[in-house]
Amino acid sequence: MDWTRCVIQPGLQGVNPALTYGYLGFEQEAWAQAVYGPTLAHEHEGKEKILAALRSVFGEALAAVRTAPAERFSTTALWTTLKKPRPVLDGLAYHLRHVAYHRGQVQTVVARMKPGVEMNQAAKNLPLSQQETS
Amino acid sequence: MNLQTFLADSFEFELGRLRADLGKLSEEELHTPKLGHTPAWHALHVCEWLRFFVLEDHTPSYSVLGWEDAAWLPPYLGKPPAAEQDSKEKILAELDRIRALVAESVRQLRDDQWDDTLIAPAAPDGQRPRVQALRMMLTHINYHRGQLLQALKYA
Repeated sequence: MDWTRCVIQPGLQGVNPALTYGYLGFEQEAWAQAVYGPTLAHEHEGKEKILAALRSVFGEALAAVRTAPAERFSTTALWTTLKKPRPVLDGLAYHLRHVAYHRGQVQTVVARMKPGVEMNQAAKNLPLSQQETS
Repeated sequence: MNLQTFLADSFEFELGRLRADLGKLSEEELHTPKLGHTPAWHALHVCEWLRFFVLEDHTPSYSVLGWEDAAWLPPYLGKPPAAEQDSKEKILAELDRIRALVAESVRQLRDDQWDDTLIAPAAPDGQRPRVQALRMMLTHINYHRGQLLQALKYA
């Protein structure tokens, strides 16, 4: 959620300097410390609140991508990041894969938590069956 | 640079990252199940689906596609270029081979091929547009890299 808020803002111009984040990771880095602060939901909060925050952030991100000016998708377009300006397309595609990376991690945890389900059974078929529903 | 090059580069980049993570493992680690599958399984599973969708190889030469209970699977089962129990050297060589072929295949796509419909046995109607399949194959790499690194870290 926080990386999505950080990367994808209306107009696809890059980082909004007014925002702070709680879950970017990189806790030792000065650039991460500089934007550490309140965020939209915290990991100890209820499922409803966390899922509502996800829905809101992901919905706004999709709207931002769908409504951004065409020039933002040119291979030479740049946007600001927490560090230096970078290509927009590179950042968008990188973030797309970042989402899949963490969905993979979530699946290993979820499969492990299901009571009575053999892990091999639970992990089986997840990749593409998940995508069937997307 | 155009988007086609960008996509080909993205496949190369992500498969390169997966390769680097697997390269750090010992022979034994590569073949030890962690939170379900062995790292070797993740590597070859990614390779096999890329071979199926991007290289469009539909011969009976697959072993780790998953979907073990699906009726469509048996006709595709057969001896793969590399199998889960094979050596680290052979498995990484397969990953390198697929990485090079996939990047080249995406670079060579003609304009009229992007709207093709591909065989997709796990899809509800058995087919997918190529663009959708390519997008799924790219994020599929990261999905399994996420699982792999999570398993290596916590198992």
